[in-house]
Parts: sequence; C-alpha cells; structure tokens
Amino acid sequence: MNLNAYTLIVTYLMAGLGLAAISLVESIGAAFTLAMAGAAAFTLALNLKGRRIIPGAIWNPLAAVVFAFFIADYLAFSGSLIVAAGRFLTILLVLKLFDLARNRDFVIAYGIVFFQILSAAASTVSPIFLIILSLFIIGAIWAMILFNMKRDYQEAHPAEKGFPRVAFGGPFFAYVVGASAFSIVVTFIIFFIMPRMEFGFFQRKTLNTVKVSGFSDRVDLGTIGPVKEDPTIIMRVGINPIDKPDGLIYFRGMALDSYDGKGWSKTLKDEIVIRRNDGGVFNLTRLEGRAIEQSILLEPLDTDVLFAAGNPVSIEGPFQNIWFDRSGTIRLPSPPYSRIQYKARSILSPVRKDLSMPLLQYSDTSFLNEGPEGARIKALAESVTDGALGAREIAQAIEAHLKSSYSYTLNPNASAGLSPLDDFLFGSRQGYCEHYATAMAALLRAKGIPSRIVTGFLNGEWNGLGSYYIVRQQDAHSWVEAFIEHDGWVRFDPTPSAGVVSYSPSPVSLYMDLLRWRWNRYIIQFSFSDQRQIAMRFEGVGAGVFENLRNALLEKKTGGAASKFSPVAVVVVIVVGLIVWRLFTRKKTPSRTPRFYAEMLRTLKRRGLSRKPAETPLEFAERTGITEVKDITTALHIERYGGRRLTEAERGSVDAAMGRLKRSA
Amino acid sequence: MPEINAFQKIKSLKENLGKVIRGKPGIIDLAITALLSRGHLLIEDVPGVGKTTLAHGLAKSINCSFQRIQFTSDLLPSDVIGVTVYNQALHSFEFREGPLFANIVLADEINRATPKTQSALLEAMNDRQVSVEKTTYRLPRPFMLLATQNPLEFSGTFPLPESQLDRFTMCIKMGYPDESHEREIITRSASASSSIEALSPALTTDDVERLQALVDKVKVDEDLVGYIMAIAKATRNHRSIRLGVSPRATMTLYKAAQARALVSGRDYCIPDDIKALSVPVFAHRIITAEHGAFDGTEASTAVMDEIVSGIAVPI
Repeated sequence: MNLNAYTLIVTYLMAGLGLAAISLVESIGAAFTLAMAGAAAFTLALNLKGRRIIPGAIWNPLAAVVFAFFIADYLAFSGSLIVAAGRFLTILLVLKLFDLARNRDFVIAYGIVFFQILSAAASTVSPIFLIILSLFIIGAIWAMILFNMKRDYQEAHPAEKGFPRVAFGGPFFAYVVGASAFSIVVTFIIFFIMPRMEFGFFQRKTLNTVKVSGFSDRVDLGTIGPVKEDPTIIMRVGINPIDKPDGLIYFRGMALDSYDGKGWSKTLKDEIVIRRNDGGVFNLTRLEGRAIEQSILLEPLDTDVLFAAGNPVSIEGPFQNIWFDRSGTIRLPSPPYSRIQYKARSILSPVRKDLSMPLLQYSDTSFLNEGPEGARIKALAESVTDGALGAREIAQAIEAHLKSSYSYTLNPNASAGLSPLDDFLFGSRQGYCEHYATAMAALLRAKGIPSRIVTGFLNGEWNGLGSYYIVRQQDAHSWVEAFIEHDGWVRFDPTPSAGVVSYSPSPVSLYMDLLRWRWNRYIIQFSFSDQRQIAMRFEGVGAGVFENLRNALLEKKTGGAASKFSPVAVVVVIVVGLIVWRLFTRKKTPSRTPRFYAEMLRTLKRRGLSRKPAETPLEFAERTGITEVKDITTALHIERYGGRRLTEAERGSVDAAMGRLKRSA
Repeated sequence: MPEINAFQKIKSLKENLGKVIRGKPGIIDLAITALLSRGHLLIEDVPGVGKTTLAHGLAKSINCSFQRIQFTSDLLPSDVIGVTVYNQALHSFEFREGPLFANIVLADEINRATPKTQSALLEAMNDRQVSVEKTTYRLPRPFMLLATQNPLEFSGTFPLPESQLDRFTMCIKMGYPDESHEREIITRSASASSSIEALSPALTTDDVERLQALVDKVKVDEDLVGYIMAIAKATRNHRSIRLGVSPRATMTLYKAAQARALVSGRDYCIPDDIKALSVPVFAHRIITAEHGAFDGTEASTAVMDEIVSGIAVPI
C-alpha cells in the first residue's frame, strides 16, 4: 500500500467514528445515519480509485447551502441545536469526503470529526461513547502521523505525483495505541484532579426534557393516570443499603392544598428562599431523627420541583438558591433542563416533629358544600368513621375503607354528568391514586381534619447491584397527608397495593443500568466535592501509612512484635528503596555518536530513510546513494572509529554537506 | 599514520595479483588480508578456478619461496615437514627440510591426507615452527599456508579436524569468473603459465613483515571489540549452531579486521571490516545443528549471515 492509501483508510476510520458518535445522539434518526454511512462508503470507493465525479469548486457553495439547511433545521424542524448541528456536521463531513484532494481537505475532515465527537459528548450519556472517544484519540494520532508523513513527502518530492509504497508494520500501530493508552490514563488522572466547574457550557439545555405531570401549581384530576404506563426514567436515587426501608419508599414532590372540583392547586404563598450555607448545604427544617442520605440523579424534567424521600431536612447540589415552603415542597428558581445530581438528607420517622399549626387552607371545606354532593360526602365520612376516636383513627378508618371498597383501574369508566370525585365515590367506584387520594382528602376535610394532597413517586425499581432506586414516570403517585394532633403531618395512602408498580427485572438489564448510573455518577456528574472526597481519602490512606510506619518502628525499638506493621507500609518502603537504588546504580552510557551524524540520521528519517540497527554506516550510505551521506559517513569513520578530531576543513565540508542535505529535504 | 608508502605497496601488490587473478578483487583483498594478519587461508572450491594461481601469484608478487604439496592419502608427516637422515660422511644425523619450509606453501586438496599428516601442520600454522625429535626448526618468515579442499568429493577424504579449521584465518570460495573475464582467461590461456612466471615482484619479504607489524598498530575502537564479541556470543547461543566460535576465532577476527583496514587504506577499523570478515572468518569454524561431516560451509555461511544481520552496529 502506498502512503496515500494509508492516509485514506485512517481518514475513513475517523469519519466512521464521527458517524458512530453522532448516531448516539438521540433523535438524530437511524435512517439519516445509515444514509450518510452509505454515502461515505461510496466516496471511499471513489477515493481509492482516485476518481472525481464532481469538480472540486462546487463543494464550497454546497457547504453554504447545507449551512442554510442547518439554520432552517434548527429553527423549523428539530428545534434542538444539538440535533441540527449533528446533522449539519455529518452532511458536511460526507461532502468533504467527496472532495479529498488537497492536504487541507484532510485537516478539515478531521476537524469536522472532532466537532462531531464534541457535539455527541454534549448530548449522549451512553457508555459506548467512551469507547468511541478512546478510538478517536488513537485514530487521531494515526491520522496526524500519516498526514505529516504524506505532506513532508510531497514537499520533498514536489515533482512526483504518486506516493512511495510503504509498509507500516504492527509496531507503528501498536506504539500509537500504547501512547494513546498512556495519554488516556493521564487524561483520567487529570480528570480526577483538575478542579471542576460547577456549570459547564454544554450542560445547559442540551437534552430533551421529559414532560412530567403532577408537579405544578395546579394539577387536574386525571393527569397522572396516562403516565402510569410510561417507563421513562425520571431519576435514580442511590442510598446506603443499610438505610433501605423494608417497605415502600415515598419520594415526595409537591403538596397541594386546594380542590376546586376539577383539580388541585397550590394557593398557599408561603415559599421562602433558602441560600446555601458555607458548606454548600441548604438547610430546610429542624426535624430530628435518623436521617438517610440520598444521592439523586434527576433526568431533565420540565418541572422545577426537587424530589426527596420522607421529610427532607437538607439539600446539597449545584444550585444557587432554592425555594422551600411549609408544606415541604422544594423547588428550584427555574426548571434545570439538564440532568442534575443532588444529595438530600431525609428523616423517614421524625423523633421531634414539626407541630406548627396547620394553615386555614388545609381544612378548607368549601368545595364540599356546593350542591348535594357535599352532603353525600359528609354522610359517607360519618358512616365510614363511625366509632373511630381521634383524628388518627378516623384517618385510618377512611384509608381502610377506600382501600377495600373501591377497585383500582387506570381506565375508569366515568359516568356522565358527575364530577370526578363524585363519580369515584358514588358512581363507577373505580379509579387510580389521584381519585383515592382526593377522596380521602375530601372525607378527612368533611370530618374537619386538615389534609392535603402530595404528588411524587412511589418506590420504583430497586437495583441491589448499585444500591439505588430506578424511578420511572410510571411510578408517579399521589397520596394524602393529614394533620394529626401531637404527631404533625402524617402520610396516608388509600390506594390499594394494585397501584404499586411491580418490577421483575433481569440481572442483565440491572447491570446495564448500573453501568449507566456509574457513568453518570462518576464521569458526567463528577464534581468538585467528589474530588475533595477522593483527595481526603488519599490523605487518610497516606496518614495511615505513616502512622503504621511510626508505630511499627517504635515497637521495634522497644522490642515489641511488629505484627501491626502494615503491608502497605512495607510495600511503600520497598518501592521507595528500589527507586533510590535504581537511581544510584544506573550507569549512564552517553551516546558516542557524533552530533553531526545523529543530525544527519534525523534529517534522513524525515525523508523516510532510516538506518537499520544491523546496518553499518557505510552500508547505509551506499543504500541511500546520496553523495552527501557518503561524505558525512567518511567523517563519522574518522571521528568515531579513527579516534581523531575532524580538522577545520573536514568539519566545514561536513557542515556544507549537511546544509545541502537539509535543503534538498 | 603509517607512511603513505605502505598503502602504495599494498596497492601495487593488489595490482600485481590482479594481473593473474582476473575479475576477483574481493578475493585478492581477502588473500592479502590473510597474509598481512599473519594468517592462513583455506580455499574451498571446485578444481580449476585459480586456487593454485592465487597461491603462486602471491608468492611471486612478494618475491619469496613457494612450495606446493599435493596431499594424498598416503602422504606422511615426514613428507611434509622433512626427515632426519644419517650423514655417513659426518657420522651424524641431519635434518632435511621438507616442502613446508617455504614462505608460501600451497597444500592442495588438504582433506585427502590422513588426520595424522593434517595434524603435522598444526604447529607450523600456529607457531610457525616444526619440531622433529626434540629439535625445533623455525619456518621462514613470512610464512603462510594456503590450503585447498574440494567440497564436492567425499570419497577418500578426511574432514579437517576442528582444531585444524580453527587455525585457518579464513575460508574463502573463489567462485567462477564472470563471462567477460572467463573469455579473457580462455584467450590468454596459452600464455597463462608464462604470465605467472613473468610476474615481477611487487614487495619484498621485508616489506611484508613491516606491513604485518603495521597491522598491529591499526586502531580498533572498544565498541568494535564489543561488536566482535556480540557476534561471537550470538554464534554460541544460536539455536541452530552446535558449536560456536572459539576465543581464538575472535582474536583472529580482530586481527583480520585490522589487516582489512590497512588493505582498505585506513589506519583504523570501521564496523564494515568486522561485518565483512565475520562470514569468511567464522563460518568454517561453527558447526551447525544439521551439520554433516562432509558438508561444505554453505549452511554455516547462511547462519552467519543471519546472525550478522541481526546484530546492532555500534555507532
């Protein structure tokens, strides 16, 4: 193969990687990617044959047209900068592949691939991207080496049209892979050491947001039902395995206080801004009890609500400030639009409770009084709670009644002419969590017990491999909180267990999700605080080693057993000793090759001529057939083997020969 | 720097030999190299390619005595070295020198003689002297043995013992002349013998001894000694070699490289001296794994080429 063929092949390898990276961008379209791959393969055939079908001058205007298409695509069709840019770059790359004539064109092609990788990096979370990136680094090094060799050859032989036949052995490619592996390792080290910016440029508005229901100031009845079959992942919540509750875990989102016959809304305006303290933590309430810590990776949602289990007491995350209200809802100033990671500390069963007085709206019974339905609800509440003493027993009675007497379905047959609540209680007597929760809130209020509706997520799928919950859209749930005297707000869930989504995951899918979770957690969302933790852990290890070492030495001195001598310390001492020993025993053998000869070898190497180790300088000179090389070799013989310094005249002629050699190169 | 004279003398010797050995400058250089390194030459080739002419021409060119011994299976050591005979007139035994007592001796078809006779040459080759009945006789200086052997004839031959082979500086092949030279040789053949006779001396034996002394002064860089050792070590560790080269062989290569440098007009060795001589000096000394007693040096030449092409040249 000649040099040009090598360059072409590596260029197509790069183009393939660019296409693969772009194909990872969601919603770019498999058809588009395949079409572009086909076009690229077609250009490969053309390029290998050295044929042109369209004159080169046409490509630049075409690129301008594609750019116009890109603008149109962005504004009118995809609406996503990343998708539009991905398409634009891909078409541009294929155009460039049609027009690989000058050296410049290769550089432009590599540049386009680089931007493809970059745009894919901004939008994909697939672990496959890591493989593509690694291959890209290796391919880029090959491409640069080959490109430079090709260009140098062309400059050295301006008259020649063709290229020399060359054979790159395995070592060439192997060395590059080795060097790349080394640089990737270094990159990873830098990745973990370089201080992290909290807000990356590409982090903003890069992903398609998931539309979620039930987490806004107004939630109409019947909005959660349709999403109960949507398996889109909303968040992953990592908790310490020992903190995992035996039963179901409720991730609280929003609390709503007012019902108007059609839906719930939040009328209470009691939100306060919480600023983060010096430790970067937002402290919310002063509940006491055993707190569980959750590490939450939230997908980009179109809501500003933050989720947390139980009663959240503090939040830690990449936010400037957050909003918090007395009902326990945590909101961001605006929806994040990108995947965010935050930590929440929650108390599932508080010891010291929040007993602040309930506000008026929670016990607002106004909606019960309109028409005959209000009376029927009151009557039902009385009959259900007959004999119950105190708010807690009343609430438990209502909860039990709803659980047992109504049928759970996601597709209730609504009776015409009835409000959703009346239809559930007295009409079809079937519904899902929203109906159950609304009914319970209504019945509680009929009995004069303050109540509110809470929307959030119920349990999700537990991934024991990584110790985290996978929470999906279909886990959306609503339940009731009632204010019980001396206990504060207590959660009741009247929905029967049929409303809990059950999962029977395969180990493979759990493992795949674990990979995604780790990738997000440790690569994409790797933050400054993570770096600090790693540094502290290392500091701890280091301190431990020295502590052990000191103890061991002290024990030795006092004649005690050295049983506590840490193996780590032993290894460290041995390694340090070996390094020191190497440093002092290594014999330095400076090269005895005269500088001018080494310089000549370098000059020739750039022209693709290199001396084989077993080749004598004279044989090499004969092989090159270059007079200057022969002259310099004679000088080498005199100085290197003859042991005589060159005379001024000889020195001068060597310099002159070298000059001619360099100019001709 | 040796006097320019020395290089001129070597040059005229080369030219002189070139008159009788046509188209073989490499062989002439090797022969002169062997002579100047105080060595002996084993010529392995089929009959009729000019082995005798080379030996005879060399002797004529340096104006010295020349003896040719045709080795046969019934040749006795005394036939080579000489015999002690009783002188009736003087009533005493006296030594009558054999044909070995000459500056240049051609031992033709050396492998036809019995090992006993072959061994009679060992002392002569190594120490340039012979011992007969407690008396040691010094051979004339310079002394050089040229031996020929025919690699194709097996019957009635005795392979040279390793100790003998080790004493030959190099083993060379004459090879066939190329077409134009062969044509020239044929047309001149009528006067071929007379051309040897007509060869005028280019050097004196004193000159040869002075040149031999100059060879000792040729500079060899220590890295080149390392190069020699690396090649020798490789022959000892090579998997297809049963017997590697001896320290005598490395000494010989060192000396021969010095001589080659002088023959090439230098007073210092370059790697090419060693590389070029490594095959003629080492190949006949090693025994390859598949070596048969009567094999020529072809297999070992190939192995030596392989070894040398794998050893880094010190620069």
